[in-house]
Amino acid sequence: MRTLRSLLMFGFAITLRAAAANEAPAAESYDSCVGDINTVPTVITTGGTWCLRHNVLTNATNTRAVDIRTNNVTIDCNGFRLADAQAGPSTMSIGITANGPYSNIAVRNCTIIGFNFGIFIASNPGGGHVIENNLLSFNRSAGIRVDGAASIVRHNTVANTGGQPGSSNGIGIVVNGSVDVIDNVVDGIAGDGSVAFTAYGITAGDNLSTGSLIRGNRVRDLTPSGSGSSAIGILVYSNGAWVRDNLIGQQTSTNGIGISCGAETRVRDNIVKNYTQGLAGQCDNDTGNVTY
Amino acid sequence: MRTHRHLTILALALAALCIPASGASAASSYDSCVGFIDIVPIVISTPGKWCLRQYLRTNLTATNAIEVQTNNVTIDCNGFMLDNQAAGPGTYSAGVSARGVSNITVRNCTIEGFYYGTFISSAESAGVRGLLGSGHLVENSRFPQNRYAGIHADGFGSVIRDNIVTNTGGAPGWGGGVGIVAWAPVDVIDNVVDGVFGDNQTADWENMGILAGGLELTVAAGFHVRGNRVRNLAQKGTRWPQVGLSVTGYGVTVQDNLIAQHDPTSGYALLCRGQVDIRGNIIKNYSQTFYDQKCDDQGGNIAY
Repeated sequence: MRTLRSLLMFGFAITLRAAAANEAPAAESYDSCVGDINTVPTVITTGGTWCLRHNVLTNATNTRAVDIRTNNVTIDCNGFRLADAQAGPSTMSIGITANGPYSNIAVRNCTIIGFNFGIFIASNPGGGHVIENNLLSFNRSAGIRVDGAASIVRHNTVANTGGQPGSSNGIGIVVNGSVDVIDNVVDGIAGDGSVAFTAYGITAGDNLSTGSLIRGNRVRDLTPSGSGSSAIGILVYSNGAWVRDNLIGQQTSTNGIGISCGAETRVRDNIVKNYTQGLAGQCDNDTGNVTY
Repeated sequence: MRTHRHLTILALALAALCIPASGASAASSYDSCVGFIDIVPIVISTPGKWCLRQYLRTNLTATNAIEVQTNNVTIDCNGFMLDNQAAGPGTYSAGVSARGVSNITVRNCTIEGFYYGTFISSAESAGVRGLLGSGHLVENSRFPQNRYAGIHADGFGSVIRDNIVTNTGGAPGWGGGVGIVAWAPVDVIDNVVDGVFGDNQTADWENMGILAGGLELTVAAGFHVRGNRVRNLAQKGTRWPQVGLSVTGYGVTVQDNLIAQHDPTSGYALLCRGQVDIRGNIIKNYSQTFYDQKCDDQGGNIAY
């Protein structure tokens, strides 16, 4: 009942948002758009800014709604929705993806709802991606995933991630490579209840990457469930990452780790609340971290 | 608790309503463009906002693609690319060039494959000392694979911010590249410099992430180098050091920068000349943290 009521309230708010978004175009400009995304799935093979001019909906259960296959592409949703809401929690679809050696992909001003991954940019080699000013909601495995050097994920809101049937984990934001994760909100990660579920807010880096900056993010309301499960606010693998000025809080005492560090991670000025362990792993606790 | 949760969800959704309203990067309008850059090379001699509205590919080796010859000009690429990769590593062209003029802005560009991505110099010519122009702004742009430097901008009251500069270097005969060159009092804020290298034919490389400040110490005063991430300066040979940030000036603050190498690297993370306050910087894998005693450690710097 509680979940249903939450969904209803969120749905109501999203409806409000859609109504507002449908009135938005008068204030927007499409001058710089090289093309429009009117239906999905669509494959982008030409560089430039590709725009949404209205909400784009699908109920596909295994598709790449917007599939980028070239460099230098910006997807600008202009505040409109790209939604897979009718596909249900088992969907394996991806909202916006680039899977190949592509560089300089940008995704901005999008509301992406109900996919398995909201945004999935996997480039190796490749990089220089910017994911900014998006809302990712009710995506089933992860809100945002970005692999690629010299990339930035900033100013996004990732809400209510998880629920893939039988999945043992869900993640708000995943980055691999030297990716900076700055000023995002991750709020709400939960499983479907069928198996033990570990909730991750942000996971960053791999053994090859260097010096990611994880700064100013707010990670809240992770819901682990089942025996042995836990919540991990920020999990860093990146060699020499810098984790600072993040707020990682739970409403009630939660089994898990606020910040879990890989090799030589510097940690400063973070606030961690209601985790059984504030910092763990190889965190170098520099100064100003508060756990309570 | 339940009410609180509901309010949180509602607040999230309502906050989402505000995203389009913020309009920080909404699709661009051409309404304010005074002209369009549809072909290069081009000379801009009228102030105002000049816009790209398509991908521009060229192969210039000695001519600058966009030559600005008057004050108060904005180049807005609207997310389009200015691509000079076809010219090869031997090019001496700049993507956007301006000399001896003021208030030049470059934004929303991807500029690739030039000797300089931007060369905005407040001096009238290369041999002239002294600063005649000011107020430049380079922001929200990408500079991949430029052959010597991604961004060069100098002049009083100038700012370089929120850019991504990647894979800079490779000009023939040059033993190193520079991600960002910011002569004189230029604020360099929240940029990413990732990957700088030299010409493969040279035996030793001396690469630099950000070069800030000026030869004239008296004029290079009171600027700020903050929040930049400098990574992956390639090392070749042992003759020359790699330098993360080189800062010259008086009353300068270098703060909250991340200067990191994946592997141990011979070089200086911070090279200071004049009087430079440094605080809250993270430095990883450089053989020497500071060079010169002019780096005034104000606390919070960590090198490991």
